Amino acid sequence: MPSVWILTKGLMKKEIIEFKRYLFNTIGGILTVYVIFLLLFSGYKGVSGMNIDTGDTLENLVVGFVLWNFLMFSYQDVKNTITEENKRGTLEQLYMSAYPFTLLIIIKSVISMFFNFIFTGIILILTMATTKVFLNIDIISLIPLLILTGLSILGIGLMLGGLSLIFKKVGSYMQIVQFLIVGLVAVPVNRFPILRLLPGSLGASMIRRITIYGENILDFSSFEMLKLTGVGILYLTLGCIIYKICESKVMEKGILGHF
Amino acid sequence: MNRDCVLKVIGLTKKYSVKKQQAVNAVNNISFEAYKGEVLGFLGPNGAGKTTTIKMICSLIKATNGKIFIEGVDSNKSRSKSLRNISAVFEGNRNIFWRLTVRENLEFFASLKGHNPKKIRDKIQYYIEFFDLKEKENEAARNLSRGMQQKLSIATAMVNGCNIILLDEPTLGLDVKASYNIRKLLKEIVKEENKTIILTTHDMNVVQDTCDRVIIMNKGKIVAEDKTKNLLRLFSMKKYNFVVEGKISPEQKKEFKMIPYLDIEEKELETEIIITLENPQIFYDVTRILSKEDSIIKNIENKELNFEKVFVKIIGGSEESA
Ligand SMILES: Nc1ncnc2c1ncn2[C@@H]1O[C@H](COP(=O)(O)OP(=O)(O)OP(=O)(O)O)[C@@H](O)[C@H]1O
Ligand SMILES: [Mg+2]
Repeated sequence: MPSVWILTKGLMKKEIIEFKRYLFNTIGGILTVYVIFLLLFSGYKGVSGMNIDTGDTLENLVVGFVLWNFLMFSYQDVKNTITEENKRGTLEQLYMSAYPFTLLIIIKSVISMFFNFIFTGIILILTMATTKVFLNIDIISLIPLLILTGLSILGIGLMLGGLSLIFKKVGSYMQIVQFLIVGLVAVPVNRFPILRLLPGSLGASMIRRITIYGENILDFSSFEMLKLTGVGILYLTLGCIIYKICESKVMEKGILGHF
Repeated sequence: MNRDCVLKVIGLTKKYSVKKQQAVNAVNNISFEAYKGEVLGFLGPNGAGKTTTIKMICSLIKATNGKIFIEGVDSNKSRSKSLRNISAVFEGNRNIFWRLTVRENLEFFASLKGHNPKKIRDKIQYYIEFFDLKEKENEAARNLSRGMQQKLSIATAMVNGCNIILLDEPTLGLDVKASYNIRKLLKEIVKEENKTIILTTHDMNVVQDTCDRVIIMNKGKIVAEDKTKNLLRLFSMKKYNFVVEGKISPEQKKEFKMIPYLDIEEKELETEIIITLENPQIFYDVTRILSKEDSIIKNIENKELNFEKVFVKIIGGSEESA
């Protein structure tokens, strides 16, 4: 296989070009998310009767929202890439690269996640400034957690991506999954340990412990880190397998580039 | 002759199974080779299996049976490796990234095949100039004319150093000038770079103009395969137009009906009898039938060889024998 770095640079450059050329969309996207947050926030204030001082609930809202936003965009990326390239007719050309397609799509998604991470950072700063709720942003502790959580999100992304190869119009049903993600971020993993196996839940709870309760990565036991890694690898592997099955079905039917 | 074989296809078969319907035998046990430095044309009516064949070679459609070797690499066993030497432009104008500029497209396609765009800058420049895209090099692909988009698509297939280029209907939807332009460029590339081009087309001009060799497919099978010039000679087609004054008699008509590939066009004041000759005897038969009733021959015109007729005839033949 030729150098993976060349492919990564190529994909990165394409992504940057498209961001820049469609800067309006990018900024618009960030603003939309921010406005949604403002609405949520003012609704929340209404419910709690202007009493902002309700312990850590408000912080939970900020973390929950930002995390949900990050995960939602990340898990949709594989599916979006596949449907978009399929619509534009370039999916077949990507499939004809000198690299395995699964590798290409994973690299592409990781790049997107990286950009997504930056945008989420901007949104986070905006929301913190609005709510005057300042979270413990311990980057060093957060990055490994985000990466490990990202693995399982990527796995889910691959599963949905595979399904969207077969059912070209899967996009419209995908809205439902968005709300499931809210659930995943919010599940009380401490009360029901089995829920730790859900993609993203364990990571979300650990991220909350850092940002809200001021812990850092050294406060987690190695068993917890191992679990997080294990869940990530499990979902990624599952995602790859399901993707491959769907891909093989589509190639069998001869409808890879059809939309 | 011992030429370098760059593509070897053995017993390739594709059966599409469609729900609640009989399976479609799109490609039925075909074998062929392609050699370095040639343009190989695939010809055949709609649904003959050309696109399916091309896409199986590109590992985009899984074959039901058969083997494909690309420069000796079994494409079924090492998909990515086999794809390193092959690039393709499919039907339509959606082969390039519409949001990227001409130059960005070329760079991105190079990196997809593992070539560092910085290291092949000269080559990228060369193709931009070769395909006459210099003026538009910083224009987004979506804003190019259809002909330019097609040139860019072919350029992206060339720039990554692949030795085998597959083109599915490269002149479809182009105007006469753009089509001529593409044909000219293809001929030049093959001559200069010793690449192998495999194309499908319905345009006989493309075949006669650019293809060294032709494979004619019908209903999933190869019904003829030869050098373009041999195929033309094989049928040694000569076409004559007899223009006869007035109408011909029913008896004459009945006799003409016995002659294969003979058309009669009756007009107000004259009758045109068009024949394609396989052997000279037919020519004399026609004159004999005409002389029986003292029909006056106003004119005999000798028409040029035409690939279209050859094609129609082979397809016709293959259907009769099927
Ligand atoms: N994905 C598919 N599923 C089922 N049948 C298919 C599929 N793709 C093609 N076919 C059928 O297979 C046969 C060959 O199609 P193919 O597209 O390869 O022909 P072609 O020679 O490229 O035709 P054209 O000149 O129209 O492009 C046709 O009968 C077609 O209807
Ligand atoms: Mg076709």
